[in-house]
Amino acid sequence: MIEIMRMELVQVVREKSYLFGLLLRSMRYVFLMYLIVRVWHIRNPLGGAYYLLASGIMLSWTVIFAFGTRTYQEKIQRTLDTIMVSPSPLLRVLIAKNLCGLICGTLFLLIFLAVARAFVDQAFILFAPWPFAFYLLSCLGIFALSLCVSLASALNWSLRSFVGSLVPLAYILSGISFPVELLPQPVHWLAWISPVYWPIQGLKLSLKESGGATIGHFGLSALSVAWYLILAVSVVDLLVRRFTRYGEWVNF
Amino acid sequence: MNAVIKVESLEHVYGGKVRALDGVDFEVNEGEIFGVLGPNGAGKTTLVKILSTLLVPTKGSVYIKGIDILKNPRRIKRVINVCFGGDQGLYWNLTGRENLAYFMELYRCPRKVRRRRIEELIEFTKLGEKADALVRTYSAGMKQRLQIARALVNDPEIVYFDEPLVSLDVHFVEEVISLMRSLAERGKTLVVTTHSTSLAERVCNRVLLLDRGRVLFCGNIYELSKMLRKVLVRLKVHGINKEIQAKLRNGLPCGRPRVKKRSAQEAELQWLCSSWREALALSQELSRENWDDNLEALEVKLPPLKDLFLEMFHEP
Repeated sequence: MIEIMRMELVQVVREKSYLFGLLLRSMRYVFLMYLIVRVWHIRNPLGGAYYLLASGIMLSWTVIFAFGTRTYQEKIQRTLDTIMVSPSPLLRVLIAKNLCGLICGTLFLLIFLAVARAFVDQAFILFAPWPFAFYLLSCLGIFALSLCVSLASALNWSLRSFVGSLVPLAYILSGISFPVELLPQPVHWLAWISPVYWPIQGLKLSLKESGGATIGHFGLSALSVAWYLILAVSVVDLLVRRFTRYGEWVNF
Repeated sequence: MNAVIKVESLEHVYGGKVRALDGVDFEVNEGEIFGVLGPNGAGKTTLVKILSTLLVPTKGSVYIKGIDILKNPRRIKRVINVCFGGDQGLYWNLTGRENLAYFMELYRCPRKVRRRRIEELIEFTKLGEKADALVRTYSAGMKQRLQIARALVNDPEIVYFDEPLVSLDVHFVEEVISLMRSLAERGKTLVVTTHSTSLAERVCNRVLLLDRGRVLFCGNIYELSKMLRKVLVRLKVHGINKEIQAKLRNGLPCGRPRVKKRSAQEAELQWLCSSWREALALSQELSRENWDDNLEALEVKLPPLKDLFLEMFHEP
């Protein structure tokens, strides 16, 4: 598993255009957060530190998601076929590759917050036990979502653009950049099924000085993420079944 | 000979409509190089996908070393591997050595064994210093060598080659053929799907001819020519003078030959006969003709697989 992760990381580092694209994609969230704060004047008890944290979290989500979507590339290169010939379960390989994204995402966040520390004292507040636990849950949510997206796009090209659009939606509906309560009620309900909404609510609570998240909040967040993880595993299973039925990754 | 692959009444229908395989039966013996030939859409790739556990057949059964591949695909995956043709199935941003290490990890090859086996594979496929270069810098031939090395990472007993000569120049074709032969010498069983009749003729002990999912023939080339009742008479003349030219133009007394090669200086004529007796009679008739010293070769032999293939599939 470690060898697979290492090779995945080596490949990403060697793909300079990919790295550059990743950096650009990450930076747009920092810019988005800046716009939100400047234009909408949304206040948060943590002030500027919160918006730096939020930018960092979105940056790490982007990295995790970018690793997840590499599965489609493997389909094109037919390396997925060679994996299918081997006795290693596809799920194990995909988890190893995506875990790499999880680690890199957290590393990116760490670097971002280390830079942010120069400007805001509370930048490292995210690494307190409760906030960090919620942060990890949110990453797992994005990890599951990226797995679903990449596998769905491996199944069907036209599905790719649709499921790809779910990711920015998940970012918006997570409530990380602004309170979802500001949006119309039906959209608010939609946010409840987002894989990152509950972890972010928990994170926000745990960051508040007066409040604080409870085990209940954590349980609810874990449940919402677990549902997505189960969905991702089911999609892998579906993909393998389809592959052994048609002998190739199916495009309708 | 022990049959390592046993295929019985194999059928596969794609989407309930397209019948890719229709009642295929055959056996592959241990240590054999077995060719699967057929025109496009014959069902070659479907067959290899089923044999390599990538596809579940609609009907029929396949046993590899006595194990039912439908019941125990994971056990089968340990003893087989697939060598793809072309540049697919490799990580371009990894070196050859890293690719091998990665695929060995997929087979849970112990770390101690890994390094030694990688060196062995690099030596066997003559990757040399290129093993430490990125795959994207490889030529088509080098990629094919790496494909072969990759297909051997788990030291499989059976290797499937899917169009191994795709986009290779003559030099690398010879190298790939010699690698395949040395694999067979090491006791591996090779199943080769190919369009190249010359490859099948040169390396395969037996061939399976498929057409629209059905087996047309399974056996060696001698058996195929016997079945088709074809014997080839080949005549080669050089230094063509007026007399010979007239003879060639007006036709010889023994029927219309197929002119294989003709220039101002030399000509090669072939006749496909339906029996050895007929072929020998024809060759005697030809030998009685007055060729002066211009006759270079007159032989009676089995026709090349390509001719039999064309004869079988009625292609012009």
